[in-house]
Amino acid sequence: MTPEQLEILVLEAKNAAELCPAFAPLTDAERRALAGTASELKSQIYKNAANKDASKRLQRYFEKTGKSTWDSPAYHNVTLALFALCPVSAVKKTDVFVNWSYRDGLGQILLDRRPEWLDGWIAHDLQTEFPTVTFSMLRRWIREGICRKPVADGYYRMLAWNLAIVEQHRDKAPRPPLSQQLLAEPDMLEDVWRLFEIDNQAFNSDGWRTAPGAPSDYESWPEALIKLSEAGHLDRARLLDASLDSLWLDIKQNQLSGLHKFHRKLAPTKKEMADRQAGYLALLCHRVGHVVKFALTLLSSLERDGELQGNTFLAEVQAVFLQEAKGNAISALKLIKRVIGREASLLNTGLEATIEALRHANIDVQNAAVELLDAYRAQLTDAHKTALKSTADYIAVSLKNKVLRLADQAKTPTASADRDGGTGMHTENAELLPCEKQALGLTAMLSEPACHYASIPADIMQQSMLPSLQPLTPIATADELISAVSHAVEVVESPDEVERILDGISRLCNHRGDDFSAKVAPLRHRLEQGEGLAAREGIADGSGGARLALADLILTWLGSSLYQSSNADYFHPCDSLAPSIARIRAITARVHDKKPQALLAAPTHSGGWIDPLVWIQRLTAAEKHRAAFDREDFCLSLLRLAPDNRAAALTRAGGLPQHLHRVVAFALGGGSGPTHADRRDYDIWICAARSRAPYADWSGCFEPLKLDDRWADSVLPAAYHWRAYQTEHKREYGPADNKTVHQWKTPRLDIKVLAGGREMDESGKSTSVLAKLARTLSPGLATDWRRLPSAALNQRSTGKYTWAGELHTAWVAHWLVYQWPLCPDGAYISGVKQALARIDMDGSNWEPGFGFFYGLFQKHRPWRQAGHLLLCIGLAGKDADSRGLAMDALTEGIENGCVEIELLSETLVRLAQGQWLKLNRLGDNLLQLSGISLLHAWVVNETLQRWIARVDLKQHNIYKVLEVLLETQSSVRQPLTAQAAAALKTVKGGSKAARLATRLLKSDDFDAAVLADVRQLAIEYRLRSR
Amino acid sequence: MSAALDFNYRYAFASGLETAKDGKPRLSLATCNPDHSTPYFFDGRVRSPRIMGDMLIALSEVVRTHFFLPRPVLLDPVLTSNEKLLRLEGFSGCCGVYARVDLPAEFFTGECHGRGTTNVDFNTPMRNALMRLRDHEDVRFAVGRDQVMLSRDAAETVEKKVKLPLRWIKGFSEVQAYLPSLQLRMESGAADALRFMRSLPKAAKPRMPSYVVASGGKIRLSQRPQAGAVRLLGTHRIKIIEPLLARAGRLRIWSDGDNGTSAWEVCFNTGSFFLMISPEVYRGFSGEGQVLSALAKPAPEAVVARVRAQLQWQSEIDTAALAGDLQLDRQQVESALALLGSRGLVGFDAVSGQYFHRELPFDLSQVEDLQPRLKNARKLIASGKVRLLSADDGETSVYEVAGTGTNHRVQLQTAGDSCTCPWFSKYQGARGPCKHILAAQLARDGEA
Repeated sequence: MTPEQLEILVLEAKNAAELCPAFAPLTDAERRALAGTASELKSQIYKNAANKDASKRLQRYFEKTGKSTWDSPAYHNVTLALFALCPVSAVKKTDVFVNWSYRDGLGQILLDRRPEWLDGWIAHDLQTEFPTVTFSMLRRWIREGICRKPVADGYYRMLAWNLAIVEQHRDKAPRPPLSQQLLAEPDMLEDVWRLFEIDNQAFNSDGWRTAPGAPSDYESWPEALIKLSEAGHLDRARLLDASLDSLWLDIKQNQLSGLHKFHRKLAPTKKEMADRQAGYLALLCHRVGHVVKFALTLLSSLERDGELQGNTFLAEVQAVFLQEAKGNAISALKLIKRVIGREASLLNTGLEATIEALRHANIDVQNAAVELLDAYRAQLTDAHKTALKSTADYIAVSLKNKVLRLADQAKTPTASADRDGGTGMHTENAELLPCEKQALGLTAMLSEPACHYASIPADIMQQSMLPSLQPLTPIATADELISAVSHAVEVVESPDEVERILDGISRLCNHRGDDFSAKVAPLRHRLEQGEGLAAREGIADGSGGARLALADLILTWLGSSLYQSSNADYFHPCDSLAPSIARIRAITARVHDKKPQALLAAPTHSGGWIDPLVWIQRLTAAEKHRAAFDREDFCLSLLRLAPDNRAAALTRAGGLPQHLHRVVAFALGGGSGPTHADRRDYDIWICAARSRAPYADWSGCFEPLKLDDRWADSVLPAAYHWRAYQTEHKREYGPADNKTVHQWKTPRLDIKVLAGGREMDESGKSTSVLAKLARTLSPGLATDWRRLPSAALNQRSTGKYTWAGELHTAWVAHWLVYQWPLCPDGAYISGVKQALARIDMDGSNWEPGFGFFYGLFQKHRPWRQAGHLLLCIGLAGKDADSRGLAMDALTEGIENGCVEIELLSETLVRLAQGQWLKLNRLGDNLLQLSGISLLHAWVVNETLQRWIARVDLKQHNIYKVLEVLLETQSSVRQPLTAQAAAALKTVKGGSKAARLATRLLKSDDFDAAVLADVRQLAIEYRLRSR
Repeated sequence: MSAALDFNYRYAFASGLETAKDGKPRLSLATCNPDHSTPYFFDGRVRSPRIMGDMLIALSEVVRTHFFLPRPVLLDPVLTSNEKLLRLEGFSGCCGVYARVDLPAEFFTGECHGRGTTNVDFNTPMRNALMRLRDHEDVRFAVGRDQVMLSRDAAETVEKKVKLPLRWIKGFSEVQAYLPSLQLRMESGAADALRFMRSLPKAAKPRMPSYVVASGGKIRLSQRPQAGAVRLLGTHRIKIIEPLLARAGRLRIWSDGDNGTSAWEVCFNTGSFFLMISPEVYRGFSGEGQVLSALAKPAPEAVVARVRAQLQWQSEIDTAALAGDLQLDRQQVESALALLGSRGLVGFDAVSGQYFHRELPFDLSQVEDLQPRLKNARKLIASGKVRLLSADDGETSVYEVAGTGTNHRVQLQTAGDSCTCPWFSKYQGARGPCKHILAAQLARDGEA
């Protein structure tokens, strides 16, 4: 064969059958001579490009085939040519792939060539993830002596897979049972032992048996091996040993499971088990729970037969208690009980082992250990008691006293003695004004000893917000602004930064030195190239909404053109931000006109707040400099006014022009309301009213304006009526005679936004017929929610592409709260909706929902119902970020008085009625919370006592909540309320919940002094929150 | 970076627990160096076999784990021996977790036969055996074997051919640059620490950074940054130490507030386990650029050579004394040690606040050049893309450095350098200087 003939063959042969005869007669020398040509051809065909010196034939071939030769006959032919002609180095290259339809051809080519490197290549191939050589090919070569049997693990994996597989081709005869396949080729019987030494699928499951098309005499590997051992072809003892030893392999857990199941399936006799007792005992320290369970089961069987080596068992069993599995630890304790019950001489060691169980994480395990120790309390030695004392820090509160009694120790000291959370701020030293006491919720707590906890007042206007907030420093120079924007384009650390940048651009837009263009060139380049619009947590975005408006503002500031981009078609805008977007657009237009202006709504403090004194200064300065009136900015500034300093601000507002003074005075709590002449400025007056009293009904005051207003948090305050429920779904798939039914439930929360008792749908339109009629006939001036930031917060239009919404950017979700910091209920409800949509899903980088929770950390701002609902959804959700923030918020809320116990329990009751509240998650979270301090434990306990009195105690996982109740009850050491006790008495039977209910009802370890500590702690925390 | 070194661990025998002739268990760690020598460092008895077993298992967990990809990894730890302690160090396959086991002389009764650093064989049977060590047992412990015993036993040589990613070696070397800036933030009793570990999320893990906070004498996880809190991403990485806490005395938590690195030190009556994790799961210690500025302006090689000549496998290097001996500034000695640390030739012990001598047993010559940012900075200089805009007034100098499609401005100033590139804009220097700043620094320092 000449090189030219080889090229023709490679390019023109239609399949392997045409190639094989051509290569078969070649001598080694001829093959060596053609190897270079084959390699060159491969290189060109694989990369689909001819070399400069390639033949015209080859060049024409590439012109003809176009873009890709992948999967062309020439591609496969040249691959086979490599195997036929080249040295092993050429075929070992990672890019060499033999198509399945050419594998038989490959087998023939290698059979014809019989290269000396065949064994080495097979060993190499079997180590790859997807070997080229097939099992049937390999077995044929082994049978015919063409190659040696490989020792590579891949061979045994192939063996395990290929002998067990069910033939899926209908036209092929079913394979004989596995045992027959092994007997047919007896050398494979020796291969069997290697299956116990490597990672393979032989013992994974019996799934093949039930697979469609499995023959009736199908055998899995375990069945075949047992059959062969029964027939004397395999050594049974060796199978038992091999399966036991294999449990120490570093392989997947499901394979370990198959191996110990096989061991059990071999049904070892008493003697066989006794002979392997050391092996079973060794497994007690295994890191895989089900392997330990296997060992415990067999050891338990040995114990029943009187064969267990008690002393060794008791020494080894302690390892079980270091692992997380609860079931194994309980089983181990049961076995210990039997061992020491049978052999009194082992009692001492047995009790030592039992004491180790007290370090286990699970309360049930600890309880079982305590019960066992209690049964032998008379036999506890001093050494045992010392060991018991050393476990005191590890055990649950509900068991601590029992353990200490066993150790002959006094009861747990009352909380005040061991509490380490004190601040040294004693009540008597706290010199508070009555209004301060009132604002901190301390009035009752300081005057009434029976008041252990009171939340802060529900009206935010009684609070002083600013002292605890970080003042924001405005950006001073253009360089600082460039630096801040550059960073924010990549990542926004907090909405405060966005507000500072907005203010900075508005004020400093004309500060352009000679080198301004050069300085901002990289930033402009990033934004114009789109790179700066890609950062998910950046300030700017090219899709739409507020981030698009911000991108336009920045680009307008950086250059000389006015940017006014439109939302992308797929973008789902957030209606709540519509007024802010309008404000940004207005600033953009001003920046383009080179008219710098300080913003009235720029927050003076973190969280979106404005100090009213500074606000008056800004208004005065704006009047002095005859600044253009920015309606959106002015409205927003009204809603951001903090409750502090309003009286003083009102006094200083006297210098303002009359038209402005009227509304300013009204917002600050003075003056009179709007008149009919103000109706065109309804937005300003409504914002002023919402600033003056955020939760009030202003309909009487606004009567003269004759407005047709139907928005919640406009003239009328918003109220949220919600109901938890779940919807059931059913889908059927497949043919009528073999249908697959898929059923599932979806958690739902129906939230209705009400304006003054009128039911509104989500787009803010009243749904009642009468309301619609009244609207048509109304002579009033229709209000527009887009001009009302407070009302806009309750707008939630549903979009098709919810994944493209801007609330999926965490800082934007947080920023919602900045729109009306006095009352962020609407923002919280948006958060509830978003969190609920992913309640059973892990956190997502694409749809992060945690941004809404930041609003709950504002000290002194009452959570109200919406805040408590958001918190509870966070606690019940799977998203670890939201859950973590909800836990932090609850922790701090208890300390600073934002938590209202009644509202919290009420919210949990109503969520539980929906039947989808995950009590395991709730229980775990509350248990962690109760460990923070005695006060936290008390609040959890109070909440749960109210909760259990009103919910169905037959719910799935109710025991998780009762566990928390028991733990907190043990901490606060108070009797249950009558309602809680009555509810617990209804829990009957032998369930875990019933046992916990009994323990709760029987609890008699009370200490009135603890409540005094709770109160003291609550006061200290509250004082610290100032 | 996919470059890797073909490395052949060739041990004279497999590490493992065997029964000695006197019927007592004997744990032998096999050793090997790149030159295929098999040092014999230690032979003695262990005072607390269970604790040692637990610590070595935890170390083995680190070296066999890639914390964000299901990738099998088993890169053996290295052991440094001297008369004062045996120190084992390991590095995870993902380059984001560094672990160190310190076994002081009091942990053993025995004899140190040699000083030095070596690879030690960690394998599955040995790991299984470690699980079964009990405190009441009389366990012998050996690092390496003397030649007489080796020839008598004629154990089968164990060879492990691995590809050591250069990124892994670089990270293992450069992790030392993070240690000096660690500060002790909080301390907790073992029971409370164990409770904290058990409270960490199991299935659903936070995607945002978490913060470990101490309040009321307890530690807990929070999702909010607070003063004194320790930033933590990848809570599953610290779960490695959970099994150790049942027998430990206390847990000490260290962190570097600037870059988010944290370290978790489990203290026993004798000995400790030190686990350091990178700021993020997907960010290894390699490529973080913390040492770039130092490398851009390294200590003079003559000073480095003099300092290196003084290294004698000390477990603590007294920099003041060394400076005195060499008649150098302490600053110069520390700078030289930092450079040697980045080259894998010394380590830093945050607990003692001192460097210690050990030489990573790999061919480190390729690693020294493995600083792409620094290389790129030098390329910028070489191609004349760095221009001084304003003269250095002693405090601030401004450079223009060519970027992709635009020119960046670099300000070098005592208060902190800055650049207008996206990298710097995003990280604000927390992940080391960008190539533009490095180029400007090189230009300023006369490399242009």
